[in-house]
Amino acid sequence: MNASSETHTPVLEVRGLGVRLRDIAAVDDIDLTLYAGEALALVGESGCGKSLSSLAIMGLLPHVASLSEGTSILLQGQQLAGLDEDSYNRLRGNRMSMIFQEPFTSLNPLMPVGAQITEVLTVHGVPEAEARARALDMLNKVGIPDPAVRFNQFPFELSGGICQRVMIALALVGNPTLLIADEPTTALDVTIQAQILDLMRDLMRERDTALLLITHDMGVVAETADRVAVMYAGRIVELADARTLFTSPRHPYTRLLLESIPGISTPPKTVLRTIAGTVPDIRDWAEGCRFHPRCPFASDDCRKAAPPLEDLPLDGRSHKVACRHVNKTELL
Amino acid sequence: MIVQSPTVLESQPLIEVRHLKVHFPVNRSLTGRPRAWVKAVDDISFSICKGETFSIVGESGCGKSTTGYALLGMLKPTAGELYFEGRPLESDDEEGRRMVRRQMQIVFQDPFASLNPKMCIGESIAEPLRAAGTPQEKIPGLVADLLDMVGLHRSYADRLPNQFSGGQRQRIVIARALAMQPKLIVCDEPVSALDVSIRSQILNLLLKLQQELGISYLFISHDLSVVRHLSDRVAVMYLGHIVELATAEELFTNTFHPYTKALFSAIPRIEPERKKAHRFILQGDLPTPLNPPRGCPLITRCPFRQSICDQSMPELQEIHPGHSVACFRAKEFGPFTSFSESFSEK
Repeated sequence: MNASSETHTPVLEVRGLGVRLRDIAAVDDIDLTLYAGEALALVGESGCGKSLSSLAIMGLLPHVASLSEGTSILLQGQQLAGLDEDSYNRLRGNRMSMIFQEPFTSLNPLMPVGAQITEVLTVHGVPEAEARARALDMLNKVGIPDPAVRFNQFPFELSGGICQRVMIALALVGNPTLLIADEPTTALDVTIQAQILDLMRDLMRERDTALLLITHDMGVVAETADRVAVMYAGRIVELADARTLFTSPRHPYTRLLLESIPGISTPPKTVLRTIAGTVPDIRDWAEGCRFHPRCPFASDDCRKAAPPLEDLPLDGRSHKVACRHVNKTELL
Repeated sequence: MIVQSPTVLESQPLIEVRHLKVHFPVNRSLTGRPRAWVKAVDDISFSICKGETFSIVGESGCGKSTTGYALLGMLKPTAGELYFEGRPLESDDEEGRRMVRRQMQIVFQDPFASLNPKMCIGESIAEPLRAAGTPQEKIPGLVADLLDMVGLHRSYADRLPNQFSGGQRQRIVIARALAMQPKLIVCDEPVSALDVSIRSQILNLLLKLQQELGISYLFISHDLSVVRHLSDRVAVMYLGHIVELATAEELFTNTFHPYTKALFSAIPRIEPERKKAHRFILQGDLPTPLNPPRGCPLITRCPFRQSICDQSMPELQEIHPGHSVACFRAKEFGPFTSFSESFSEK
């Protein structure tokens, strides 16, 4: 269950992933490696490119977006970059699947939920009767009460929490090796969110599925992820195991971001830390290090060229940071 | 029943709410007679002191926003009394309400939807001033002062909302709310729509304004870390009822109601040491307010329910000075002191 499964072959290996929105690089040269049974969180604020990255991996980029030259996406060794739609269709729902934020808009409103889950299997060649049985079993596994009744119900008859359970059943019924969850609980109430996160964790553990979790909620990340990649303005700025990232963040952005969230140890009604300025619009991304206009340590070098994402291991654990001033972060 | 809302800060309450009910008719018949009612807010009482931040927390549909709207007169209460600085507010006394309404303003969640996109922001901020009859020659100066107060440059007054980011827009909305020098601002999820790195800027601004101007806030939020940081007192709502009410400090150390406990435990937090296994997670879904359960509202999901719980609704009762709980078994259990062990022992 841990990040230290280096000996296995990775489930997903992304190298130099870039996504262009017309002529702007919205995602810029991202590397990610994901192992079986591992949960990697991709976090960042709105517009940082986290959702585009996940859509690129799933081959679901909108028409205005395209993969950059030189992108390599390996799913268990198979190259996905440049794959045609038919080949992608054979993989999606089968070896890789995705859960979206809005359960209501992601389900077909005109089809009973059981039929939707069954369809995932039948399009991949499972016989109808077996598919139905597996779909029903899956509804049971995701903890839906009265699965036989729910099987024939339409999404509008179900609550948000139940719909998201149906989405999870849909995503996992084909036994994928990779699951991408894009803000899976953002639309849900907190007591329901806790149920769904627990369910996802249990099912992933049971099946050794690799999870790529896209979210902006640091609390969800802290409780779900084994490793965390922090994105800012289209690039990964820090990548480390979750505990290390939350206890000793080394990129100024990560550190300031975590400190701006009031926590248990923050004295009430005191002034919180802030990050100067605002989250930049994609058209205003800075030259060089994209965080430099908001960074207290920005130097001339930072304005000229982007720092590479370098591994600076601490106590033998990998900790990648893209910053020239890593040593100063602790002064913050 | 004023016992329910103890005056923690020794001062006269600015606002007092007694037995407030807001019911919405649904599913009307052909003759227009409602066949059913959604009891969005069902008999709640509390008071807000001068300069105090009173927070209401709860999940969607619990009635927290409805309470705020009823207070402002944006919704007509079905029953109950409101007092502003000791004077009763009658819902049919339009003139009286209008005067009071100036002293109560609101900041909504979505700063993109709260500003007229075709009106420059100086105009938006000036609108309430005009409506109140402020002389035209004074307006530009007042607008500039308000922009100053929320940390925006004075020269921005003639820009359109689309030239501002979400955080800046929320500052503009706050400036507009401040224009009438209100005594109370209802903040309905004011930072939920903002990026994390912007939230603390707005929270700092709200704190600064309170210190400088002595404003009271009714803070409506589901984000407990924010609530804990800003609040003096906190009410927890579930299905239209207040189930627990205490000072923020007390509530976050001694939780009595099982729902509060579950809510606090469900919120994912950045505490690497926290044991996931000890989380207290409620089973099942929120019941629909159209068909609430009989007796205690939590009965369908509470692991501690007994026969007494489905017979009548537990009243909000003071368990400590300043700490009220609506649970038949609260005394028997004592507080859930820590988030972990105490539960498994019970």
